[in-house]
Amino acid sequence: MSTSIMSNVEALSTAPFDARFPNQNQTRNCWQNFVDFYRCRKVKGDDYEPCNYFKKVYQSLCPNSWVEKWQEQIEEGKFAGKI
Amino acid sequence: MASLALRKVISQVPRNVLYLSTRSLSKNLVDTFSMEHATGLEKKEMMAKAAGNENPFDMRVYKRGPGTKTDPNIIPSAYEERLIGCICEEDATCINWMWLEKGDPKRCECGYWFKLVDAKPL
Amino acid sequence: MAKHTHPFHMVDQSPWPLTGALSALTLTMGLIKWFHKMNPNLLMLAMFITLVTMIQWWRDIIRESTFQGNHTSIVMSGLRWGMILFIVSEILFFASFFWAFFHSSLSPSIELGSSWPPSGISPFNPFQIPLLNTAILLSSGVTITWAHHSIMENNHPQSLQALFLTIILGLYFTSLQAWEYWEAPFSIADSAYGTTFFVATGFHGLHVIIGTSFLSICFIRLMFFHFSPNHHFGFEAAAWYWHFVDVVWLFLFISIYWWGS
Repeated sequence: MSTSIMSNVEALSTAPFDARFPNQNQTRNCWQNFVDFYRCRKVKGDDYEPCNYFKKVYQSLCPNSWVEKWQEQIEEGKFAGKI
Repeated sequence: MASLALRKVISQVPRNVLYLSTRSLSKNLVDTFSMEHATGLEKKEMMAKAAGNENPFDMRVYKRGPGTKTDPNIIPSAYEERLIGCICEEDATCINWMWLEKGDPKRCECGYWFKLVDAKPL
Repeated sequence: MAKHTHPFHMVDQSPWPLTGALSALTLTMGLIKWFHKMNPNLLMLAMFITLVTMIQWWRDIIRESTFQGNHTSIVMSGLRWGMILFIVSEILFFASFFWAFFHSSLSPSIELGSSWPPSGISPFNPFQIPLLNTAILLSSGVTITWAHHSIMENNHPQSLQALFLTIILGLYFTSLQAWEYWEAPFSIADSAYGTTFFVATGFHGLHVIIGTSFLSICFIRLMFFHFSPNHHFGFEAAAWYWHFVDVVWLFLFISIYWWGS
């Protein structure tokens, strides 16, 4: 009983507090994790599981439209961040 | 204009550019040049100052005399009237203003007498 | 003029404030028309009215001061304060562009890739033309001081030479800036970098051109012996202005060209 509650809590967890982004505005937190996810995959390869931590964080912080736009920009080679 | 300017500059080069500070003028000579150069009211002011009058336009604060009816404070003016202001006490924070007219000596609010006389224009 | 009972200069009636106001209005409308319709005609007319107003107004002031002697020591003190306040307002004008620059660069937005210079922008190398420009403006500060001391010592030939050199250095600076603008790999429309860069350096360049014209007028007046060792405020005002433009460049060089690259 108690373990299933715990696993549910784990599944529902959101981005943890990040001391680099202490303000209400989390735009940069979203952006940093998006960039870090792609950097991580570039260095460690597409199947490296720990990289998905960044994905989880940016997915809970970023508006979906931003993510779609940025992924499009990466495909077209005109994303502003350095990956 | 441009060719005149250029000629003026170039013609001076051989004589002066090779050695610095051709002459150092005394303060006196500089003042004489400036005096000769000036004209109009500016020159009158300069001449008054050169003659030792440091206050040619009568702009300074007066220290009042006794200011009795028989011995009033004399205020010069080139006009028929002059606005004067009394600082009644040394550390007073306000000035008592009044108009003083020629031929009509007047007492200020602190009780002293003033009289307007003709001033010599600069 | 019969009796001079006060040291102040009561100016005569003059049409130039009116034509100046008119030219300012026409200038505003001309700029808008130029921006929106690509038609510079009204702007050209406005510039002409502005130029005519400036020439005649300042010509009147030269007559009042040099030829009529209306500028007593108190009038000169007023002119000094006027120039000081004007330069202070200019400092605040440039402060706003530095504010915009530091706002954009100290915490670059995510659209710039969170980096400064933004990704995709390749800035100028500050140690090429910008460093040369720094040297030029600093030397012009030396030559203008030389000119000033020559005027104070009544050394007419040297004052002419030194002022001539200062003007040449100003023109040299302007042409190098123009060359660099021409060669620039980014434009005013390229992100906050291009905008803050060209607005700040562009307004500075405009001020160099204004300062050079001011010094040129002083040069012409110097040729015609308008300045005496004790009374040459027109020149001093130009020198103050030139030093101000010089100092603004130092800040531009250090923060925008050097730190910002």
